[in-house]
Amino acid sequence: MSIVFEGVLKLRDGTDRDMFSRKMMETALHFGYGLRFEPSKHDVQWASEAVEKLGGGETAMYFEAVSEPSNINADAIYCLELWEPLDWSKVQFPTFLLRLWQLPEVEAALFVRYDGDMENLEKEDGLPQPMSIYKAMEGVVSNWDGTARQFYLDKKSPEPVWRGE
Amino acid sequence: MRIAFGVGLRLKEESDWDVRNRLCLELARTAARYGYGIQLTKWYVSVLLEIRFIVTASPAADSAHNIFKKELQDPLNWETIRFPNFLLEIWQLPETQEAVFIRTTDGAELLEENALSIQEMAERPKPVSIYRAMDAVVALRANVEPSRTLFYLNKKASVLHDHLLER
Repeated sequence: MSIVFEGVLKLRDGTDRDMFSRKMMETALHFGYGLRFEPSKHDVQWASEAVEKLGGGETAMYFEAVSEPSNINADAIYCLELWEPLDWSKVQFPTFLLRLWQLPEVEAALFVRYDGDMENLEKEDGLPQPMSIYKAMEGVVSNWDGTARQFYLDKKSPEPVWRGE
Repeated sequence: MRIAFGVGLRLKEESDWDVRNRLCLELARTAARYGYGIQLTKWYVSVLLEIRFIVTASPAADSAHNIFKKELQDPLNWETIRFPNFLLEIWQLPETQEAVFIRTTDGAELLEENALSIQEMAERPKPVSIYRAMDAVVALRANVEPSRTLFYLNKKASVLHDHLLER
Protein backbone atom coordinates (compact mmCIF):
# COMPACT_ATOMS: atom_id res chain seq x y z
CA MET A 1 0.00 0.00 0.00
CA SER A 2 1.19 3.50 -0.64
CA ILE A 3 -0.34 6.85 0.08
CA VAL A 4 -1.78 8.87 -2.77
CA PHE A 5 -2.79 12.52 -2.60
CA GLU A 6 -4.85 14.04 -5.38
CA GLY A 7 -6.81 17.19 -5.79
CA VAL A 8 -8.98 19.18 -8.13
CA LEU A 9 -8.89 22.95 -8.07
CA LYS A 10 -11.72 25.11 -9.32
CA LEU A 11 -10.20 28.09 -11.11
CA ARG A 12 -11.54 31.56 -11.68
CA ASP A 13 -13.01 32.33 -15.07
CA GLY A 14 -10.35 33.48 -17.48
CA THR A 15 -7.43 31.82 -15.72
CA ASP A 16 -4.62 30.89 -18.09
CA ARG A 17 -4.31 27.17 -17.35
CA ASP A 18 -0.77 26.82 -18.67
CA MET A 19 0.51 29.73 -16.62
CA PHE A 20 -1.35 28.48 -13.58
CA SER A 21 0.03 24.94 -13.90
CA ARG A 22 3.52 26.46 -14.00
CA LYS A 23 2.76 28.41 -10.86
CA MET A 24 1.55 25.22 -9.17
CA MET A 25 4.66 23.36 -10.21
CA GLU A 26 6.93 26.14 -8.95
CA THR A 27 5.14 26.00 -5.61
CA ALA A 28 5.62 22.22 -5.46
CA LEU A 29 9.30 22.45 -6.38
CA HIS A 30 9.84 25.04 -3.68
CA PHE A 31 8.93 22.30 -1.17
CA GLY A 32 10.87 19.61 -3.05
CA TYR A 33 7.70 17.91 -4.29
CA GLY A 34 6.44 17.25 -7.80
CA LEU A 35 3.04 17.29 -9.49
CA ARG A 36 1.32 15.24 -12.16
CA PHE A 37 -1.61 16.60 -14.09
CA GLU A 38 -2.96 13.34 -15.53
CA PRO A 39 -4.64 10.77 -13.28
CA SER A 40 -3.34 7.21 -13.14
CA LYS A 41 -5.62 4.63 -14.68
CA HIS A 42 -6.88 3.37 -11.29
CA ASP A 43 -8.21 6.76 -10.25
CA VAL A 44 -9.51 8.14 -13.54
CA GLN A 45 -13.07 7.72 -12.35
CA TRP A 46 -12.58 9.77 -9.16
CA ALA A 47 -10.70 12.43 -11.09
CA SER A 48 -13.30 12.78 -13.82
CA GLU A 49 -16.17 12.90 -11.31
CA ALA A 50 -14.34 15.46 -9.18
CA VAL A 51 -13.61 17.63 -12.20
CA GLU A 52 -17.29 17.56 -13.15
CA LYS A 53 -18.34 18.48 -9.61
CA LEU A 54 -16.03 21.49 -9.69
CA GLY A 55 -17.27 22.92 -12.95
CA GLY A 56 -15.94 20.67 -15.70
CA GLY A 57 -12.78 20.46 -17.76
CA GLU A 58 -12.66 24.14 -18.70
CA THR A 59 -12.77 25.33 -15.11
CA ALA A 60 -11.25 22.60 -12.96
CA MET A 61 -7.68 21.38 -12.84
CA TYR A 62 -6.68 17.93 -11.61
CA PHE A 63 -3.34 17.27 -9.94
CA GLU A 64 -1.58 14.54 -8.02
CA ALA A 65 1.09 15.49 -5.49
CA VAL A 66 4.20 13.34 -5.63
CA SER A 67 7.06 13.29 -3.18
CA GLU A 68 9.63 14.53 -5.68
CA PRO A 69 9.56 15.31 -9.41
CA SER A 70 10.69 11.80 -10.36
CA ASN A 71 8.51 9.91 -7.92
CA ILE A 72 5.20 8.17 -8.50
CA ASN A 73 3.06 9.24 -5.54
CA ALA A 74 2.97 11.09 -2.22
CA ASP A 75 3.96 8.10 -0.11
CA ALA A 76 7.47 9.30 0.70
CA ILE A 77 6.13 12.69 1.80
CA TYR A 78 4.12 10.90 4.47
CA CYS A 79 6.97 8.57 5.37
CA LEU A 80 9.49 11.39 5.73
CA GLU A 81 7.32 14.07 7.30
CA LEU A 82 4.42 12.47 9.08
CA TRP A 83 5.66 9.47 10.99
CA GLU A 84 4.82 8.99 14.67
CA PRO A 85 6.09 10.58 16.81
CA LEU A 86 5.61 13.72 14.74
CA ASP A 87 8.67 15.89 14.28
CA TRP A 88 7.16 19.30 13.74
CA SER A 89 10.33 20.67 12.23
CA LYS A 90 9.78 18.35 9.23
CA VAL A 91 6.05 18.78 8.65
CA GLN A 92 5.70 20.84 5.45
CA PHE A 93 3.02 19.18 3.36
CA PRO A 94 0.08 21.06 4.94
CA THR A 95 1.94 24.33 4.30
CA PHE A 96 2.21 23.36 0.64
CA LEU A 97 -1.56 22.80 0.53
CA LEU A 98 -2.11 26.19 2.17
CA ARG A 99 0.05 27.86 -0.48
CA LEU A 100 -1.90 26.17 -3.28
CA TRP A 101 -5.18 27.14 -1.66
CA GLN A 102 -4.13 30.75 -1.35
CA LEU A 103 -3.21 31.17 -4.99
CA PRO A 104 -5.57 33.90 -6.15
CA GLU A 105 -6.72 31.88 -9.18
CA VAL A 106 -8.26 29.21 -6.92
CA GLU A 107 -11.95 29.41 -5.98
CA ALA A 108 -12.49 25.97 -4.46
CA ALA A 109 -10.58 22.75 -3.94
CA LEU A 110 -11.29 19.09 -3.37
CA PHE A 111 -8.42 17.04 -1.94
CA VAL A 112 -8.39 13.31 -1.40
CA ARG A 113 -5.87 11.24 0.52
CA TYR A 114 -6.03 7.46 0.37
CA ASP A 115 -3.87 4.52 1.15
CA GLY A 116 -3.60 2.09 -1.75
CA ASP A 117 -7.13 2.24 -3.06
CA MET A 118 -10.30 4.26 -2.86
CA GLU A 119 -12.59 1.40 -1.97
CA ASN A 120 -13.36 2.81 1.46
CA LEU A 121 -13.95 6.36 0.23
CA GLU A 122 -17.43 7.48 1.17
CA LYS A 123 -19.36 7.98 -2.04
CA GLU A 124 -21.22 11.25 -2.21
CA ASP A 125 -23.39 12.48 -5.01
CA GLY A 126 -22.39 16.07 -4.54
CA LEU A 127 -19.49 17.71 -2.82
CA PRO A 128 -18.71 17.10 0.87
CA GLN A 129 -19.40 19.82 3.44
CA PRO A 130 -16.82 22.58 3.07
CA MET A 131 -14.23 22.96 5.80
CA SER A 132 -11.59 25.54 6.51
CA ILE A 133 -8.12 25.08 5.05
CA TYR A 134 -6.78 24.83 8.59
CA LYS A 135 -9.03 21.88 9.42
CA ALA A 136 -7.95 20.23 6.20
CA MET A 137 -4.29 20.77 7.11
CA GLU A 138 -4.88 19.07 10.43
CA GLY A 139 -6.91 16.30 8.83
CA VAL A 140 -4.21 15.58 6.27
CA VAL A 141 -1.65 15.10 9.01
CA SER A 142 -3.82 13.30 11.55
CA ASN A 143 -5.77 10.79 9.52
CA TRP A 144 -3.72 7.64 9.96
CA ASP A 145 -6.41 4.96 10.18
CA GLY A 146 -6.12 4.07 6.50
CA THR A 147 -9.52 5.48 5.60
CA ALA A 148 -9.70 7.41 2.35
CA ARG A 149 -10.74 10.95 3.16
CA GLN A 150 -11.84 13.95 1.15
CA PHE A 151 -11.43 17.61 2.06
CA TYR A 152 -13.56 20.19 0.32
CA LEU A 153 -12.69 23.89 0.54
CA ASP A 154 -14.63 26.79 -0.89
CA LYS A 155 -13.48 30.39 -0.64
CA LYS A 156 -17.14 31.45 -0.45
CA SER A 157 -17.72 29.24 2.58
CA PRO A 158 -17.89 30.94 5.99
CA GLU A 159 -15.87 28.16 7.69
CA PRO A 160 -14.30 28.13 10.23
CA VAL A 161 -16.97 28.64 12.89
CA TRP A 162 -16.04 29.18 16.53
CA ARG A 163 -17.27 26.30 18.68
CA GLY A 164 -15.31 27.03 21.84
CA GLU A 165 -12.43 25.07 23.21
CA MET B 1 -12.37 47.13 23.43
CA ARG B 2 -9.35 46.41 21.35
CA ILE B 3 -8.04 43.00 20.37
CA ALA B 4 -4.43 42.34 21.28
CA PHE B 5 -2.32 39.36 20.38
CA GLY B 6 0.74 38.24 22.30
CA VAL B 7 3.29 35.58 21.51
CA GLY B 8 5.76 33.82 23.78
CA LEU B 9 8.41 31.66 22.16
CA ARG B 10 10.65 29.26 24.01
CA LEU B 11 13.81 28.57 22.04
CA LYS B 12 15.74 25.35 21.72
CA GLU B 13 18.02 24.66 24.68
CA GLU B 14 21.20 25.11 22.65
CA SER B 15 20.27 28.66 21.62
CA ASP B 16 22.70 31.37 22.63
CA TRP B 17 22.55 35.16 22.56
CA ASP B 18 23.51 35.26 18.88
CA VAL B 19 20.65 32.91 18.02
CA ARG B 20 18.26 34.94 20.12
CA ASN B 21 19.30 38.24 18.57
CA ARG B 22 19.11 36.85 15.05
CA LEU B 23 15.66 35.47 15.79
CA CYS B 24 14.42 38.84 17.04
CA LEU B 25 15.57 40.35 13.77
CA GLU B 26 13.96 37.54 11.79
CA LEU B 27 10.67 38.00 13.65
CA ALA B 28 10.65 41.72 12.92
CA ARG B 29 11.40 41.07 9.24
CA THR B 30 8.70 38.42 9.00
CA ALA B 31 6.16 40.75 10.59
CA ALA B 32 7.18 43.62 8.29
CA ARG B 33 6.75 41.38 5.24
CA TYR B 34 3.09 40.96 6.24
CA GLY B 35 2.76 44.67 7.03
CA TYR B 36 2.58 43.95 10.78
CA GLY B 37 4.90 44.94 13.58
CA ILE B 38 6.20 43.32 16.73
CA GLN B 39 6.82 44.96 20.05
CA LEU B 40 9.09 43.04 22.42
CA THR B 41 7.74 43.10 25.96
CA LYS B 42 10.28 44.99 27.97
CA TRP B 43 10.19 42.81 31.09
CA TYR B 44 11.53 39.80 29.32
CA VAL B 45 14.21 40.98 26.94
CA SER B 46 16.87 39.68 29.28
CA VAL B 47 15.65 36.09 29.30
CA LEU B 48 17.86 34.09 26.98
CA LEU B 49 15.57 31.24 25.96
CA GLU B 50 12.35 33.20 25.72
CA ILE B 51 11.16 35.88 23.36
CA ARG B 52 7.86 37.54 24.13
CA PHE B 53 6.20 40.11 22.00
CA ILE B 54 2.95 41.78 21.10
CA VAL B 55 1.88 41.67 17.47
CA THR B 56 0.80 45.02 16.11
CA ALA B 57 -1.24 45.85 13.02
CA SER B 58 1.61 47.95 11.61
CA PRO B 59 5.04 48.81 12.95
CA ALA B 60 3.56 52.04 14.36
CA ALA B 61 0.36 50.56 15.79
CA ASP B 62 -0.20 49.62 19.42
CA SER B 63 -2.11 46.36 19.01
CA ALA B 64 -3.23 43.72 16.53
CA HIS B 65 -6.77 45.11 16.53
CA ASN B 66 -6.78 46.33 12.95
CA ILE B 67 -5.45 43.01 11.65
CA PHE B 68 -8.60 41.38 12.97
CA LYS B 69 -10.80 44.20 11.74
CA LYS B 70 -9.35 44.16 8.23
CA GLU B 71 -8.77 40.45 7.66
CA LEU B 72 -11.36 38.68 9.76
CA GLN B 73 -14.70 40.40 9.38
CA ASP B 74 -17.78 38.47 8.29
CA PRO B 75 -18.31 37.52 5.54
CA LEU B 76 -14.79 36.11 5.45
CA ASN B 77 -12.72 37.06 2.45
CA TRP B 78 -10.22 34.26 2.03
CA GLU B 79 -8.12 36.44 -0.26
CA THR B 80 -7.15 38.76 2.56
CA ILE B 81 -6.59 36.36 5.46
CA ARG B 82 -2.86 36.31 6.20
CA PHE B 83 -2.56 36.45 9.97
CA PRO B 84 -2.65 32.63 10.42
CA ASN B 85 0.16 32.34 7.83
CA PHE B 86 2.21 34.71 9.95
CA LEU B 87 1.64 32.51 13.02
CA LEU B 88 2.58 29.43 11.00
CA GLU B 89 5.82 31.06 9.87
CA ILE B 90 6.74 32.00 13.41
CA TRP B 91 5.99 28.49 14.58
CA GLN B 92 8.07 26.94 11.81
CA LEU B 93 11.19 28.92 12.58
CA PRO B 94 13.75 26.23 13.38
CA GLU B 95 14.82 27.90 16.63
CA THR B 96 11.30 27.71 18.10
CA GLN B 97 10.59 24.82 20.45
CA GLU B 98 7.40 25.91 22.19
CA ALA B 99 4.98 28.76 21.64
CA VAL B 100 2.14 30.43 23.47
CA PHE B 101 -0.33 32.57 21.54
CA ILE B 102 -2.64 34.77 23.56
CA ARG B 103 -5.55 36.64 22.05
CA THR B 104 -7.23 39.06 24.38
CA THR B 105 -9.78 41.84 24.20
CA ASP B 106 -8.50 43.35 27.43
CA GLY B 107 -6.11 45.55 25.49
CA ALA B 108 -2.45 45.54 24.65
CA GLU B 109 -1.41 47.26 27.88
CA LEU B 110 -2.83 44.46 30.00
CA LEU B 111 -1.23 41.89 27.73
CA GLU B 112 2.13 43.51 28.11
CA GLU B 113 1.86 43.68 31.88
CA ASN B 114 0.15 40.43 32.80
CA ALA B 115 -0.79 37.96 30.16
CA LEU B 116 2.65 36.74 29.24
CA SER B 117 3.67 35.96 32.77
CA ILE B 118 6.11 33.22 33.59
CA GLN B 119 3.39 31.64 35.68
CA GLU B 120 1.09 31.41 32.70
CA MET B 121 3.78 29.66 30.70
CA ALA B 122 4.28 27.27 33.61
CA GLU B 123 0.57 26.47 33.81
CA ARG B 124 0.36 25.59 30.18
CA PRO B 125 -2.86 24.26 28.81
CA LYS B 126 -2.91 21.07 26.75
CA PRO B 127 -0.92 21.55 23.53
CA VAL B 128 -2.78 22.07 20.28
CA SER B 129 -1.58 21.76 16.72
CA ILE B 130 -0.65 24.93 14.87
CA TYR B 131 -3.50 24.21 12.45
CA ARG B 132 -6.02 24.14 15.26
CA ALA B 133 -4.69 27.45 16.57
CA MET B 134 -4.91 29.00 13.08
CA ASP B 135 -8.46 27.72 12.70
CA ALA B 136 -9.54 29.07 16.07
CA VAL B 137 -8.00 32.50 15.49
CA VAL B 138 -9.99 32.88 12.27
CA ALA B 139 -13.14 31.35 13.76
CA LEU B 140 -13.12 34.01 16.47
CA ARG B 141 -13.07 36.74 13.81
CA ALA B 142 -13.03 40.15 15.46
CA ASN B 143 -15.44 39.10 18.23
CA VAL B 144 -14.82 40.46 21.70
CA GLU B 145 -15.93 37.22 23.40
CA PRO B 146 -14.27 35.15 24.70
CA SER B 147 -12.17 37.87 26.25
CA ARG B 148 -9.07 35.70 26.36
CA THR B 149 -7.96 32.63 24.41
CA LEU B 150 -4.62 30.95 24.85
CA PHE B 151 -2.99 28.36 22.61
CA TYR B 152 0.02 26.35 23.68
CA LEU B 153 2.14 24.58 21.04
CA ASN B 154 5.06 22.25 21.57
CA LYS B 155 7.10 20.76 18.73
CA LYS B 156 7.70 17.65 20.79
CA ALA B 157 3.99 17.01 21.35
CA SER B 158 2.35 14.55 18.99
CA VAL B 159 -0.88 16.44 19.50
CA LEU B 160 -2.62 15.34 16.35
CA HIS B 161 -2.56 11.77 17.53
CA ASP B 162 -4.31 12.83 20.72
CA HIS B 163 -6.96 14.66 18.74
CA LEU B 164 -7.53 11.64 16.56
CA LEU B 165 -8.24 9.58 19.65
CA GLU B 166 -10.65 12.21 20.92
CA ARG B 167 -12.84 12.10 17.82
